[in-house]
Amino acid sequence: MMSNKRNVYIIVAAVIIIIGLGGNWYLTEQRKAERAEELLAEKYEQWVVWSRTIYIGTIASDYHPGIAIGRGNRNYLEGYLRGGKLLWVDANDINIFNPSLAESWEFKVNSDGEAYVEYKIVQGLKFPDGTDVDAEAVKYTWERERYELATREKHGETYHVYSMSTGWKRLEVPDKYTLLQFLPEDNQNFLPHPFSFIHALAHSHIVSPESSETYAKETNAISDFANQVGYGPFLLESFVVDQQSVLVPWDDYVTLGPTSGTTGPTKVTELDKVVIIEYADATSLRMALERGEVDIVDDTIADVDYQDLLANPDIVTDRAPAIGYCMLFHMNHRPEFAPFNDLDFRKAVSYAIFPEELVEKCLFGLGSVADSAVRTFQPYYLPVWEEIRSLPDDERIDIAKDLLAKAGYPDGYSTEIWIPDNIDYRNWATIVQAQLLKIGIRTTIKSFESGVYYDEVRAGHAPMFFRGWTLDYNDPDSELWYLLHSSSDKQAQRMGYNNSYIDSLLERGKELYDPTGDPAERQEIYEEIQQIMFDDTISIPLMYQDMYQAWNSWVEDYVMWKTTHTTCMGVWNARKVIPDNWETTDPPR
Amino acid sequence: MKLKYYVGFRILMIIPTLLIILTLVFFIMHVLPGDPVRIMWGEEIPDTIIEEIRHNLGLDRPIHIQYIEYLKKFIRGDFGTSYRYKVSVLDKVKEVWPTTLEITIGGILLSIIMGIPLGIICALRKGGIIDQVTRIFSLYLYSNPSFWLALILQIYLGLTWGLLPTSGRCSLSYDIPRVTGMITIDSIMALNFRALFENLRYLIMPWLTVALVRMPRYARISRASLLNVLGEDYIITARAKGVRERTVIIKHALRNAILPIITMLAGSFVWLLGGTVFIEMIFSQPGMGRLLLEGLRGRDFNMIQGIVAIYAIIVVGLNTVVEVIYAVADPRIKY
Repeated sequence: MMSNKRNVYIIVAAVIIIIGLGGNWYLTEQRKAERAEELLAEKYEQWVVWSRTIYIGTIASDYHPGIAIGRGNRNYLEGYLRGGKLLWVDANDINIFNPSLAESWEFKVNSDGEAYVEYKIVQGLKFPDGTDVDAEAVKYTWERERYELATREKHGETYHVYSMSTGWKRLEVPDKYTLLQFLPEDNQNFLPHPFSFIHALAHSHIVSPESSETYAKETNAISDFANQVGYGPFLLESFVVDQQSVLVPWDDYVTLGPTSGTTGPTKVTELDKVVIIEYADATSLRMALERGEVDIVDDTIADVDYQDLLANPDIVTDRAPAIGYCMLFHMNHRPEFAPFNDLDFRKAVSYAIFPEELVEKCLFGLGSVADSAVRTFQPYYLPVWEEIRSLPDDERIDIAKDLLAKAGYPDGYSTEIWIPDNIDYRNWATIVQAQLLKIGIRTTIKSFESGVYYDEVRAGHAPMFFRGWTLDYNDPDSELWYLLHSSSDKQAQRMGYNNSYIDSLLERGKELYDPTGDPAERQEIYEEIQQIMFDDTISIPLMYQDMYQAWNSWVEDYVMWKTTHTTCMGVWNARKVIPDNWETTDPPR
Repeated sequence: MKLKYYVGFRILMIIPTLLIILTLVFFIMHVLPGDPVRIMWGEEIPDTIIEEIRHNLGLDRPIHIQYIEYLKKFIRGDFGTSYRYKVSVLDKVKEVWPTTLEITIGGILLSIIMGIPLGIICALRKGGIIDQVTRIFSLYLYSNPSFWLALILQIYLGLTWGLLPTSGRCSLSYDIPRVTGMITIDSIMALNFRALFENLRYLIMPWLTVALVRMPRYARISRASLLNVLGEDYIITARAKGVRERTVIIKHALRNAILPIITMLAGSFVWLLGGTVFIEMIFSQPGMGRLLLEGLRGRDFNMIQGIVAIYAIIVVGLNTVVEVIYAVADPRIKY
């Protein structure tokens, strides 16, 4: 009896609960229907907020809100978005520098024979803190970059020391809006180097001296640096060191120079925020893009992921060919590394290496075979290696074997390829190892921890190694000087290459540069150097890396900057389009 | 030996243990070839500037002087300044430590909630279908590396099904006042439940990864421990006296079966502190593991030494606490 009563209570309770839940659901649906218009308006508002915020994804790196550190993309990007420059390299043409804070510039030589560039600064501009944008501000910025070691050392930035010290020997301000940049002794009339380094590849933006003295000294906390201002379309609203930066448009920004969208920063009208988010690895970055958590990813996305994104109809992709590194394979020319100092041996290696395989398997097609150390779009490019690379594969192998026999090694040779502890280098070395084995050269891949590798290779101890070079300026000197001049500790000294004739050619090539138009002799010089490089097989150019980028299809008017290493700074024009199905979906973020 | 002397002895032993660990780490880091200044500041920098930086960081002094200075600073609680972040190592660790703690505690709790009841069920239905399936599934999960599990969750829950964010932390636009540094707790304290819910969405996958890796162990240990206890005489006596089965299990068996699980918890906590590196990297969580990895990459000596010292203090401290608890709780233990 008691059991029956309990069961009845349970059934009644269950019925009440079910009715209650059902009734609640019904009433909720009723309320939703009544509020349908209101809910729709709320949803649209969410979409509008989403459409006015752009999320840029990048790989985590050293970050500092005021100083570009190492190679951190987040720093560079922030610098470009917050700061101004005298000139901006065009988005598509590396030879064009558009006026920005400098309305004009002119190359001159004074009565003492010193070469300099005279910039006329746009008059009447003010930084966000109300101080004047003038020649003194530019001088202050550039000198600070070069000389204020204590601040830089404390905050880890040193790349600009290199840029500035190779870009000018002194700066003068004859009047408020005129700056004179006196070129260094070894670059007296050679404009590509200082121009590209300071206006294109160097990442410093012109800062307000007053804000820098107040907020950006050695004794300032990292958070203070966010208050340092430059003349850019954005202001830094907030940041978290390992996570993200939030930038907001600066309302008083005035667009400078020509305004085609590919010439430089423009006043931002379509956005309320740009959020730069750090991801710890490339796969997470790719997933965030596909999921819509970020709108744009910079070039830190992995090439294998980029290849997959090509097939995604919701993702837009673009590439800048050969703007990344040019990778070369080196052999040590020092006598103690015989037989690498034997021309026939080096030629045999050159014939045996098939860079097409490297481009296909290591770059996943995001690059091209390098038939010269000079890039295809640089002046005086001569595809000297095409001659052997256009031969049938079997013929190349046979020639390589013959050359090896001629060098005195008909039965092959054993040696080592040295690489740093890096997956890319390991992949390249593995492929080259297999290729060399076909002609009887047996190589052991020796991997070193990066710090050790740097020291050993710099000291000239590596028998065979890879070394690439990123584009510094659009002139063959950019590739060839660092590769071949005996003073270069970047590549020439590492492989023990020392040729006074090549040195004289390179020096003469630099002397002959004429901003109004090179003489024919200059072309002859650089073509001769490339030919010598091939004839003597000094090093073997392998491949050029492309820079690439991807973004979601709802981003429009976005410009990929194809002429620098910070590809995604063209966000100032961008806007996001609300999808047609907004009523039935939620914003991805 | 009396208990208080034993406890005192255990605490004193922390000092030489720590000293050995710190010394080993210091010398290993410094004898490794490769210049940390060159790695941090790059290849393009002139040698003169590199030398100046090396001098300012004290790296040009004899190694024994650097070691003594290091120990002196450690005693004062100064773990040095990070070469990379240019702030005190301790400040940087305090900044990121809550993230690791949040992942670790949440993951362990989830693994306990999942693992222990499962272990109990398996023990009570020994040999049954649940027990068999759990055994196979546990072995499978236990065999999988944590980073693989993390990636699978990220791909399916994040990317393919779009149920959760693929990585990152809760949006900073919620502006929650930092009290503990753990966004979950701080948002509860700030009564910002929207932020709490949002943050939980970002933490579910890291927690699930930890839980799936640790749960099999808890399930198996709970099962084995409970089975062991269920065979004891006092359990048979209780049943013979007519005590309800639920009471036998909960009141008599579980209480005694729980001790090995407590030991395992301490060990899990310690393991996870170091083992969350992959999880933090994959889910872009700025925690201690990621900090240590970045420090290793960049040869940030002070950061590496500081984090290792902190881990050493935690491990040694926790082990000491567990041993003392055991000594107090279990009169069978001789000391």
